[in-house]
Amino acid sequence: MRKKNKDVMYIRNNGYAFNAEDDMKKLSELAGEGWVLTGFKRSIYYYKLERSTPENVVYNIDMYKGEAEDLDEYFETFRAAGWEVIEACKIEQVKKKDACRIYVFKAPAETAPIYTDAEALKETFRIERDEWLVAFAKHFGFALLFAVVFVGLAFLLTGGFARSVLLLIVSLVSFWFYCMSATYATGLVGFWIKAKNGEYKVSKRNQILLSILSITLTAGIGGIYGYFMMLTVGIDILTYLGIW
Amino acid sequence: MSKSKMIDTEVLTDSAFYILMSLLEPRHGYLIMQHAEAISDGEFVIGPATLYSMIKKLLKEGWIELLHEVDRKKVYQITAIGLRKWQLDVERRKKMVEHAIRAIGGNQDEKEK
Repeated sequence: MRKKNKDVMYIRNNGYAFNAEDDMKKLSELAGEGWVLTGFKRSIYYYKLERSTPENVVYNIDMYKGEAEDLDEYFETFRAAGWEVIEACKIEQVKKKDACRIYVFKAPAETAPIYTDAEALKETFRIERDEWLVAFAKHFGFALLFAVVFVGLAFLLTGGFARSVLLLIVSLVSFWFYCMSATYATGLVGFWIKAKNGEYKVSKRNQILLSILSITLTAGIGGIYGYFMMLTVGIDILTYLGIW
Repeated sequence: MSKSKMIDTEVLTDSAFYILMSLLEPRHGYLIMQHAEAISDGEFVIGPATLYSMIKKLLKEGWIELLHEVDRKKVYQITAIGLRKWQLDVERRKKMVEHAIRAIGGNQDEKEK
């Protein structure tokens, strides 16, 4: 929890993939203490809360999965059910920014939740899961492409200092894509669990397993990957310098 | 994996049941929600996110269709296949209630003895 000044407070978003329900509960408690959610900061990494009169409200979060031009109708449906939209970004941003596909809704405490059916929630998570799968496949594919094809090409087509520089760039790009794919892989598993269970919450046990998966993929395999990458580039530079 | 399917061949979820029932006549988005609540005397509530998700799913299944748009609002209606599914499910639910009534009646008879 971070305080900027007396009237504005920012709290960290714990991630839609894992802890959205806990976040919503916390926001509801804070609203009761007079800290009301008014927006987001840095995309969706922080919730922006402002001092206000205490409110007895509940918050729910949803991912918008439709077309940009249908967003008005989506909001209208929520408003008709008594839910106020907290983050309303411009329609043309919806397709460009992930953040704008996530909306937080506020309603009086006794309002029925936005999902009244586990199957509907599962369906939303299934769509999200498939999107993460595509993102993972894309980034992992690029990582492989850069690692194998481009490194190979760099060796075949260039030589000397140019090759060292090219290898370094290609390796770094490959490594970056790998790290991104590792992040997507963790999210993918998270949403896969949620699509199966039809719940916002991921159990403590699964959260720990996901953390282990994430650390293994990024620090573990990523570390080995980075080590070999540096070794290749290092040897190449040393060869060029005539030391090796 | 069959367990994770939303709707298997015959059984509809309660939300799907009420949405299909509301679309026996053409209706747009949140009118479906309000209609379901009205015909159930306020007892069955469809959350807006559930409604949104289910409309997508039912369209995919071909049980409802988009008729037209009025003031940028999409108007949907049940299809012939959707109607058949719904009618079968009405029968299924009717039988279930009959069984329940019989069970309650049976217990009362035993008590009287």
